[in-house]
Amino acid sequence: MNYHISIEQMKKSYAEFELFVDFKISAHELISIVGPSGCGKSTTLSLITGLIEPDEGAVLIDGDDITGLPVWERNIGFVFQDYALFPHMNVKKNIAYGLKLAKESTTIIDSSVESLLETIQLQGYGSRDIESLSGGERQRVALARAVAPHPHLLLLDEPLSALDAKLRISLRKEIQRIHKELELTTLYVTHDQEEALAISDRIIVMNNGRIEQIGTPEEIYHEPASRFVAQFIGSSNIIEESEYPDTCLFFRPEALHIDDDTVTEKTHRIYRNATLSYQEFSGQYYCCTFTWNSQLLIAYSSSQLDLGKNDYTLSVAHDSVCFIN
Amino acid sequence: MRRTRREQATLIAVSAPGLILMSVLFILPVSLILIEAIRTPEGDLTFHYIAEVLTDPYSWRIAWFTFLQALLSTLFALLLGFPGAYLLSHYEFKGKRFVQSIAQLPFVLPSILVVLGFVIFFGNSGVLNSLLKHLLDLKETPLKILYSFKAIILAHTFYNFPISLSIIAAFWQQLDSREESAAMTLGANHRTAFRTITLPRLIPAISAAASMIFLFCFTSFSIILVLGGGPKFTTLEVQIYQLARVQFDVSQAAAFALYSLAISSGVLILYIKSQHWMQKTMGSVGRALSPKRTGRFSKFLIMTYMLLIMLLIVAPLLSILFRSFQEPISRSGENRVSLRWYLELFGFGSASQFFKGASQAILTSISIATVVTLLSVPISLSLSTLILQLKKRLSIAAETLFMLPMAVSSVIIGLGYAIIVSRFPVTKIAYPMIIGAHLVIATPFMIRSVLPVFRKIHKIYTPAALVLGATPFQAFLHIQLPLLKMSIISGAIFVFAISIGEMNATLLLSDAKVTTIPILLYRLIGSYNFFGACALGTLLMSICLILFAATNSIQERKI
Repeated sequence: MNYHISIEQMKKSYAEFELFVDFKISAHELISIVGPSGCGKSTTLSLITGLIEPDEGAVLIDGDDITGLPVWERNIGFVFQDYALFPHMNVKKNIAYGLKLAKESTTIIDSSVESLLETIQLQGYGSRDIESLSGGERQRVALARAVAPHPHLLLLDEPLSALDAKLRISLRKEIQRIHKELELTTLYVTHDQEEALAISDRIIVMNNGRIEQIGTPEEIYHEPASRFVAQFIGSSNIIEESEYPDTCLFFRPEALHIDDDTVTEKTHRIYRNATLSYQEFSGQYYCCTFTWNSQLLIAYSSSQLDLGKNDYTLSVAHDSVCFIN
Repeated sequence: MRRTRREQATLIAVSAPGLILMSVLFILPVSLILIEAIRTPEGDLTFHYIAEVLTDPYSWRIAWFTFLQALLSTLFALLLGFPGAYLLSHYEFKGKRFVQSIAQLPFVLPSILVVLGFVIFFGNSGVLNSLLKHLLDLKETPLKILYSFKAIILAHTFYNFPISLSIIAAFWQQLDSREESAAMTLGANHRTAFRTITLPRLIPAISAAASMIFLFCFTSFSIILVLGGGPKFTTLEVQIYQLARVQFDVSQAAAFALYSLAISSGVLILYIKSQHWMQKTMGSVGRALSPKRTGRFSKFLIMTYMLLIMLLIVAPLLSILFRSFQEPISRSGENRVSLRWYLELFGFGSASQFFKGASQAILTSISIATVVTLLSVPISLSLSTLILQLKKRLSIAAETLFMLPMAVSSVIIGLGYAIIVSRFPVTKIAYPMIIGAHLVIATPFMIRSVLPVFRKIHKIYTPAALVLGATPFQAFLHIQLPLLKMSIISGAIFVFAISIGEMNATLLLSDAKVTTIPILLYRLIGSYNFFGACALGTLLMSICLILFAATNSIQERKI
């Protein structure tokens, strides 16, 4: 397969932290990196832009090694977490800055700024001061500024983390739309797993400086490669069984049925005499936590159950279960 | 790896000039003091001078007096500032901005002006005494303050209480008011809540203000020199000056300088610790105080405090202005309105001997201040770049080094330069030496103005520009410089004000040919030509106040 960007065996060591990443991005793909804070997501982006220098490894764009190039010769778009819009320039000048440095003609600059303002739905905002913009508007201007010089790759470093929940959801749709419209290759960093599941073609899950898993959102959700991924993405049931000492059983709460009489041992794993130890109402359903053999099992129920009752039968289909380390 | 080398080359090219210049300007004179203190005239190593300073009862007495006057001044300045800090942080009232502005004055007003104002207002034939004589119909002078221990403490208190006022008020305003409320819900009355909650929480700010004021008073020079008068009220700094300029005993002066440096660096460490402490406490702030409206009692308190400020700070300054338009008509102390001093100042009329140099002094002062200001900008930018590019530990070390001149008193810096002058038997060296000393004294203020903004730009905006394709030089030109503009301007105003008001180092370096405004002021006060001094003082005051108004009107861009 032909990859557009490839990050090869990149290593960076700090006093108490070591980063090692190796992955490839296809053209026009939107990949997100998720992981807890401090896992090395943002450092990975800085290594790709050249703001930080790797100890080992290389960045290749279309097969060309750009590791030795200074930041300003790489042509990689970057949307910073706090936007970093230049406060002494208006919206238009911010968007045009990269094009000016590329020595584009004034007519080209004017027309691309206009069309970008249209793309981000801020027509007529060209002469506005940055200070007069709302958080969401700043975010969109930052995006336009980053994509204006037609970068090989667009990097977004937690671009929505400073915004409120509702705005985050509408803007992540917008980012996905602009990504498709401009046919960009995009690497998107977030700590919000829900955001990653919603917009990505593929997801990279990172933990403590390492990549835990790369896969489509569905793969990551249903077949997590490790206990960490299973726990980080969504909520999960992880059961330790004595027959398999080094591995655990994994399945999602929605796969666990409560008191289903139709199931048999042939098709399902069955946990008898489970006690309901806790339940909370979440709107669509009750989230129930059962205790079975001193392990916890989470299941969803459409109706309220009896707290403390100890003869619930829980079951999960064999093909909904997978083994993780 | 190629890139690293290129970046390093750029960094060296950018930071080397500032680094070399600052090292030569600061480290050379200070090391010369050290060498001078441990060297015989023949060039052999000796601890004789240091031992003499440490064993001589006279020098112990000087040190004790220096310490005592600084301690008392600090105490009074804190006591006077504290109520003001309370009022400023708790109430919204008319004239609040005025009080806040007044609180900034000690940072821009040269101390020789304070001396002059003090003499003119509180002096035996000063404005206050004439006023009291008139009102109470007295024959005798009611207030005899001048040239005594009292005078030193009073002048220091008036000059420095605004420091405690502004530091404590700024901190107090940030404190979470809910903690005091919490104490009250738990049963503490107002007084107990203040004693057990608020006061302990104010300690970092009080300690920062106290150490700063103590440092200023400990190394204070012109106030002691003029108001103390005589060997009875000599401090370490005055002693250094006397030894170097009057007795020409540079080695002994150097030994005293080391003595003074040792004590003041101890106090400086205390100040730095308190500031960190303050910042740490400020970081945990929840909801800051919202200023209350004033009631009748608080209105009375505010009025009283404003009156006090008017009396202590504004009245002496206004007296300078008032006296500058007068001339004596009889020996008994009667005056009439006159423009004589201003005319003489600018070379009209039959100038007395001192005034012949006045226009020259004004020119000299302005040109020195201009050169110093212009040089301090590139030096500060160069040093700030270095501080920002270095790895964390080295960066802190560099920042401390470049701020260090703030801790060394201007008399000691002057002494260092005086030693250089004594080593180079070249004439006409006074100018460059004065400029060098002023640069050392004022540049840290420029760095302090530029660095926090620069740090933010460096962290946020520079990477954004580089990623968009700007070379480091383009990023500097398009992004850093425009964003730094305002802090450079306000830093430059500060540097200019410091240079034009600098007397201590200049006094140690000036020869008969080089005279600046503060030096001429000092000589005029010394020869009891107070009216002339007031005219020159008014000029200096106007320059400083205009500069001060300019910094206040500068709107820093939010970045």
